[in-house]
Amino acid sequence: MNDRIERILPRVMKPARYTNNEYNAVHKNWDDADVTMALAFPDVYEVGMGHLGYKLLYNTINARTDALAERAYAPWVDMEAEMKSAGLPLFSLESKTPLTAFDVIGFTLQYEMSYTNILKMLDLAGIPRRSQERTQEHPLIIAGGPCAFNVEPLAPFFDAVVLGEAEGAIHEILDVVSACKKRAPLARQDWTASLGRLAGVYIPAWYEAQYDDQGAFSGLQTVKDDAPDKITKRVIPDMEQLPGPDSFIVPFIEVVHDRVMVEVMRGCTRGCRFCQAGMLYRPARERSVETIKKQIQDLLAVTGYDEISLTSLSTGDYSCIRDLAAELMQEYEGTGTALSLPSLRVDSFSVELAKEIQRFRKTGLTFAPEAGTQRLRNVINKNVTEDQLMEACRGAFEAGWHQMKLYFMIGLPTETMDDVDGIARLAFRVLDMGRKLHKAGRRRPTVTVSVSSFVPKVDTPFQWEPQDTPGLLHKKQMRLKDALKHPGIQYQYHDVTTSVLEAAFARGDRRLAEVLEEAVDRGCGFDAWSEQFRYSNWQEAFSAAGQNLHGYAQQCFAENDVLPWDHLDAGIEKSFLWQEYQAALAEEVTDDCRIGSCSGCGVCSALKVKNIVQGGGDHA
Amino acid sequence: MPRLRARFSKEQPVKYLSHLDVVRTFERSLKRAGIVMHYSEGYHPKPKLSFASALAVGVTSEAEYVDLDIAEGQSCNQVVTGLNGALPQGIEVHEAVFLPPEAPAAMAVVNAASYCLYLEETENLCARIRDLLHENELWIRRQTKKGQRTIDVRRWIFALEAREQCVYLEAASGSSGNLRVEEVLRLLDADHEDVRVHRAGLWIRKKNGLHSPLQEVYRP
Repeated sequence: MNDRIERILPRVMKPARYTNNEYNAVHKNWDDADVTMALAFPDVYEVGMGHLGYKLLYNTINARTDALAERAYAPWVDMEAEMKSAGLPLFSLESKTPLTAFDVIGFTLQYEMSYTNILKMLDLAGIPRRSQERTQEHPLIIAGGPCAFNVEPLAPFFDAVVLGEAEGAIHEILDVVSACKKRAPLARQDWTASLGRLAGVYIPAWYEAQYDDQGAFSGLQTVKDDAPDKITKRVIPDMEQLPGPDSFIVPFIEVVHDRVMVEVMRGCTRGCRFCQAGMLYRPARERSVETIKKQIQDLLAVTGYDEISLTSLSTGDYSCIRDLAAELMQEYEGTGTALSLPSLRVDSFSVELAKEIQRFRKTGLTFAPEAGTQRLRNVINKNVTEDQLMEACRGAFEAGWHQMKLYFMIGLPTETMDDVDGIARLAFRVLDMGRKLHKAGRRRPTVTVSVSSFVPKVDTPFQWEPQDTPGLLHKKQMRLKDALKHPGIQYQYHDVTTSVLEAAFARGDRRLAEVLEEAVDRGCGFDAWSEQFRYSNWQEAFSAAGQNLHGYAQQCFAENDVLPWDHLDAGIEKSFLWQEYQAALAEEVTDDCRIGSCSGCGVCSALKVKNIVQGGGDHA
Repeated sequence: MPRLRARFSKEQPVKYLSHLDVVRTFERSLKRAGIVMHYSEGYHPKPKLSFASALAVGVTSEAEYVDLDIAEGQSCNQVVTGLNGALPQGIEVHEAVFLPPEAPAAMAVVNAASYCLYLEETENLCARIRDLLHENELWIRRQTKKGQRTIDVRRWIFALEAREQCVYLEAASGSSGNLRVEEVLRLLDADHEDVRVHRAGLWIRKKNGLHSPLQEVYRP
C-alpha cells in the first residue's frame, strides 16, 4: 500500500497532506484493538485538521486500550484522480489502511456544502452509498455534528446518526460495536437495533417520509416497532467534568486554526434568532479559570504552538474573561505567545479587556454586528447598539489594533434597503474613528466588511422563513459594493449560488438525497471551494432528480406544518421558537437567560441541565 | 548572544515537507524541548533561526544546517538532546557547535551542495554524462524575478559521476552561483519525476577542497 501511495505522491500538490507522521499522531497496534474507527472529515486535510471536535474524539477514543481511531480526509482533486487511475482505495492516514477495513467510519456534518465530499469519500473507499445496499462486509457508517439536526437529506446514507455532543455517546457506540463483533456474524440490522437503543442515536432506516398530494412533507412514519417518535440530543451537563484533550496533533503544513484551542465554555444563551449553534448547544456551561489555564499550559508544552485560542460561541461572554486574560497575560508575557479571540460580541468587549490582551502579540480583531440598523438588530435579537460598537472599536484602536473586521448578513427577515445601507454607514463610522485616533508611525486603520447571505436554519426562530431570492441577494451585494468603494475598506462577499444550495439542504427533506447522488455523479465536490463549485451541474442534478432548488431554498412553512426535522430534538420547544419568531416580526427583544429571566426555551427541564456560570458579578 | 550551528538530517518519513514546513517544525520542536531562544523584533516575533539552504519538497538530506540564536546558559549537548527528544520522526540533529560572534551565517558561507541522484532510466547514462562534461558551455533557461534569462551553468557543475548505485553531483549552491537538481536532470534528458534525490552534503568549497560548515567556523 505504502509503495503504491509513494509512487503517486511526487505528482500531486502538497503531498504532505497524505503522509502522516505528524508529532503526536497516534499509531496503535491493530491486533490490540477490539474496535476500530475512522474519523472521516469531508474536506481536505488543511480544513479537517482545524476541527476541534475530532481532536477531542481522536484523543478520547485512543485513550481506550481496546479501541483505536485514525484520521481520513477527502483527497484533493488531483490526488483523487491519481488514486482512481492507480486503483487505490481511500485510506486512513496513520496506518494507510483502506477505510473498508475499519469497523466504524464516522463523518462530521459541519456544513451542507461538504455533503458531496461524503459520497465521494464513500465511492473512493469502495463502500456503497446507501445504507440498505451495504452488507456485513462493510463498516458501519455514522455521522454527527450540527447538521445532524437536519440529517434528512442524507438519511439513506447513514446507518446511525448521533445528535448533540458526542464525547459520551461515542464510547457507548464503540462498546455496542465491540460487543456485536464478538457475537459474530450478525446482520447489520442487529447492530443498528442495539445502537438505536442508545440515547441520542437516530437510525434513519426506521422511518419513512410521507408527502401529500401537493408534494409537501406530511410526516415521518416509523417502520420499526418501538422506534422512538423523537430522538433527543446528548449533552455534557458540566464541562468541568469533561477532561480536556491532553495533546493535539501538530501538522507539518499550514492548516486552518493552527494553534492551541481550548473551549472556555459550551453553549450560548444570548438567543440571537438567526443562530443555530446558539440554540443547539444550550445550556451555557462554563469551565473554571483554573481548568482552562492548566489545559493551555499542558497543550502548549506538548505541541510547541505559539498561539492560544479561547474558543466558544461567544468568548466575550465568558464570565471570567477579564481575570482569565489578565492571568494568561502575566504567565505568557515575553514568551512570544499570542492570544487569539474568535469574533467577539460587541457589547461585552470593553476597553479593559482590550488592554488586558494588548500586550500579547496582536492578531486581527473581529466583531459581528450582523445587521446595519438597530431595528434589524432587534429583529434578530442581537442586542448591540451603535454606541457600544463605537466604544468597543475606540478601545481597540486606542490599544493599538489597526485592522477591524466586521461580520454582517444580508437577507435577514424584514430587511429593507435602508438596513442594507446601514451596513455601509456603520463601516464608515468605524473607519472614521480609526482615522481620528490614528497616531503617526502606526499602521493606517483598515476595516474589512464581510457580508454573508442569510440561510434560515432548523431549530431557530427563523426556520419557517424563506431565504431571499438569489436576485435580491445579489442586488444587495452589489449595492454594498458601490457604497463601500474606499481605499480603507475591504469588502468580502461570496457568490449567492452557494448560499442558495446551502439553504435548500439546510431545511431539506429526504428527496434531496437523490439530488446529492446526481450531483456527485456529475462531478460535484469540494463545493465550499469556489474554484471547484459547479452550479450548472447542481442545476442539472436537481432536474434529473425532479426537484426544485429554489422551491427548497424559499420554502415558507406555516405554524402548524409538520417539519421534516421535527423528530430530531435539540431540547428546545417548538412553541418557544414560534414565539421568538413572532417577537422578531414585532421587533421585540428577548433577554439573555444567564443574566435576565428565563425565556422558557425548555432545554433545562427537558434535559435536566442548567446554565453553569463560573464567575459572579457584573459581566453584562 | 550564543549561536549554535547544527547539522540535521531530513529523512524518508518527512521528505515531502517544504522548507517552510521544516522551519515551522524547528520552531515548535524548540518550544517543546524548552530551549530558550532569542526572538526577532516587530509585529510577529519569531525565534531566530537561520538555515543554510532551502531543501525542496521530496528531497531527503543527511546534512542540512541551521543556526540557532539561543539564550545564555544552555549547553550544546542540552540543545541537541532536547531537540532530538522533541523533533518528529524523520528529522534528527547529529552534531552541533557554538559559533564565534563574528562568524557569518551558514547561508553566507555555504557555496556548494552534493547530491545522490537515483535514476530509474539509466540507458547510456555514462555517455550522456561524459558528453555533458565535455562541453565548455551549457546553456539553460531560467525564470527569474527579472524575467527569463539564459545562463551558462557549466562552471557550476563541480562534479558529475555515474557511480554504482546513483549519479553523484556536486554543484554550486548559494548567492554567488546556484544550480538546481532539476536543471541538471534536464541537461541529462532525465524526467525529474522518476528520480529520487538525496542531498549528501552542503559545503564550503575552497581551492583546497570541500569543508563542512561546522569545521570552518573559525576561519573567515
